[in-house]
Amino acid sequence: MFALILLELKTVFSSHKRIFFLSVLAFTCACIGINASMSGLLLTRTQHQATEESFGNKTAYEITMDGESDTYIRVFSNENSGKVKSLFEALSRDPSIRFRYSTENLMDFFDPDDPSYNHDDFPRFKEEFRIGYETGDVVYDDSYLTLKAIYADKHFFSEHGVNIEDGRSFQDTDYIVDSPEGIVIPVVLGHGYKDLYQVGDRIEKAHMGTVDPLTLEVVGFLKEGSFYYDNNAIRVLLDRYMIVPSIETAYDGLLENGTYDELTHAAYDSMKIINSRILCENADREKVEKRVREIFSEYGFSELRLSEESEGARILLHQARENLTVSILITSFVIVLITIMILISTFYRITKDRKKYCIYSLHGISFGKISLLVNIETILIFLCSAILFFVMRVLLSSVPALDFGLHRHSVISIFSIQILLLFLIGLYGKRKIRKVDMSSVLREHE
Amino acid sequence: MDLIRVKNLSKNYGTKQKIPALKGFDMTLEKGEMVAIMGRSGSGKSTVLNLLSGIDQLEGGQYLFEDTDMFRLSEREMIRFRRENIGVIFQHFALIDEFTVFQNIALPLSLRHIPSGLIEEKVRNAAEELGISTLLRKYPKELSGGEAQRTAIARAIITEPKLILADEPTGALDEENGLRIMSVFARLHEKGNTLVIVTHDPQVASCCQRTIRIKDGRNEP
Repeated sequence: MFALILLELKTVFSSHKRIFFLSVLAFTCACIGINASMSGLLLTRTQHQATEESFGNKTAYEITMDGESDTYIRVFSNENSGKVKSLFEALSRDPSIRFRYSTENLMDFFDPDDPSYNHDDFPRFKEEFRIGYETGDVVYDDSYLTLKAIYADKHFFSEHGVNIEDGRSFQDTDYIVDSPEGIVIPVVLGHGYKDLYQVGDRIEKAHMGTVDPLTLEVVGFLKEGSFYYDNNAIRVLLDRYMIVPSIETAYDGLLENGTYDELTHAAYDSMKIINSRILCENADREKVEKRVREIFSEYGFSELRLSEESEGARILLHQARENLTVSILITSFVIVLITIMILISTFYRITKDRKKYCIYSLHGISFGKISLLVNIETILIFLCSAILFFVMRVLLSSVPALDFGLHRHSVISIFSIQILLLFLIGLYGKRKIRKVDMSSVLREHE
Repeated sequence: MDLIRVKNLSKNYGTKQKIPALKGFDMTLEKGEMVAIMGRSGSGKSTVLNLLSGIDQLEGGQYLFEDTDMFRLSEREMIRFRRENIGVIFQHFALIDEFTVFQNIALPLSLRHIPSGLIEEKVRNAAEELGISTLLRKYPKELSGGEAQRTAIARAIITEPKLILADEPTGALDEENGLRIMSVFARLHEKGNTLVIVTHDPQVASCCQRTIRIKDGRNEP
């Protein structure tokens, strides 16, 4: 059988090598198309998932602000902290509004200008830093430590499906600081920190936008691979994050000089308002927009604006879907063309070489094996085009503009399509050979 | 000892309108016999050969090869039976044009797990026996009719089949080449091979031990 396969291959190269090479190029193009479609499909699925999970079937608004940086400084100045607190409380407690204010920010642990800090406070400094920044893209030196944190609202764990592996998540009381003295803030750490800390450990000298240090107490760890979709609908993996409650103060932070203490100012800074999102059912849009504007006006925040955000994401998703449809259509068209091409080629080969295949059958080769011999060229085309595709991928990977990327879904799809096509043409070939009238063909005089 | 026992063999062609080709044909063949099946064009003699070789599907009657009931064989078993027991020679040789004489003769052996050295030895012996050892590198289109038919015979006997079937083996040859081919068959018969030759040529039939006559799909008395 092997000798016959070699003879068939020899015939392919001696009689129609041009067609063979063109077929290899055509199927290589199909492989690239399949890869592009798969990439598009995965990207669209991710976008779709992110949009759905971030906004659901709802409308999302962000709060923006008109004016330059001086306006920003004025609106969120220390003196205005009481007004911001009132605005925050009005928005977060209004039953007709779903106000969400979880946000990503940094947590500082070192103050290089303060001589009282030293490395003994953070004996595992480098390990902490390594966990905090997987790629090391933030420059650090021995006098500074900044870790990534999520300042979570009360809905963070329940609405994003973020689960705790050890310990507990936050309780309502964790969000309230009722005295400026001896503050201990609970913290839930990402799975990456699990080898460094245990539930109950305390991390000293944390700065949540305050000069005075706070103490963090580890109350739980997240499951490995936990994630949430941030306000920009981007999936954020939480393994290297610390989750701290976005605190509210329950004491009067107003000082005698008319300013607020720094914890009150830190608790009610712009992050709580500008980085927030307001969600509502599509049908309630007008009602919610009206109510929010009323609150802005009521608390004297004429600079704030309500901008619909979900619409943009939906338009992007719609465009991505359209692009994907085009990509899938083109790829399907190429695959259909190739299938037809291969079937015609099989039909032509069986018709042209029917005497040879009848002689094979006469000498005891089964129809299945004859079908294999008929399609050996196709198998070779598939093999060569797959190799060419991967070689192109490797060669082009050094040129970012030309690199078309590759992932396992594409590889699986390409091989699945090839196997399916081979199965189909194998069946077709077998059926076609079986129909040939052997006795007439073997008597033909050429 | 009987190699073949055929009783009341029948066969129809066509799908919508059945055209009978055999209407109850009987024959027996002993091991080592050389028999001619003779009849006019359309009498059904080639159909007999197709059924005996398993090229055509059996329909009615009885066909025993040694003690095997051929009607009971599946398609796969029939293919194996043909590979192991039958050698067929056609009027127009049925050689593969892309293969050399050597490759054509070696074809039946290349399907078995036989070392290439042994295949070469067997092909050379068969070619020598048939006087074509100088043609092994040639392609069928470069051969004369007699050379092509001897190549086809070499291919048919290379596996030492129990039965050699020849369908008008001299039909496409001139008289001189026809006689040479018949002398090859005579030699094969002398060596103990069993042969069935389908022909309408009385001269070919006269070289056989006995002749079975067929007319309108039945044995002619």
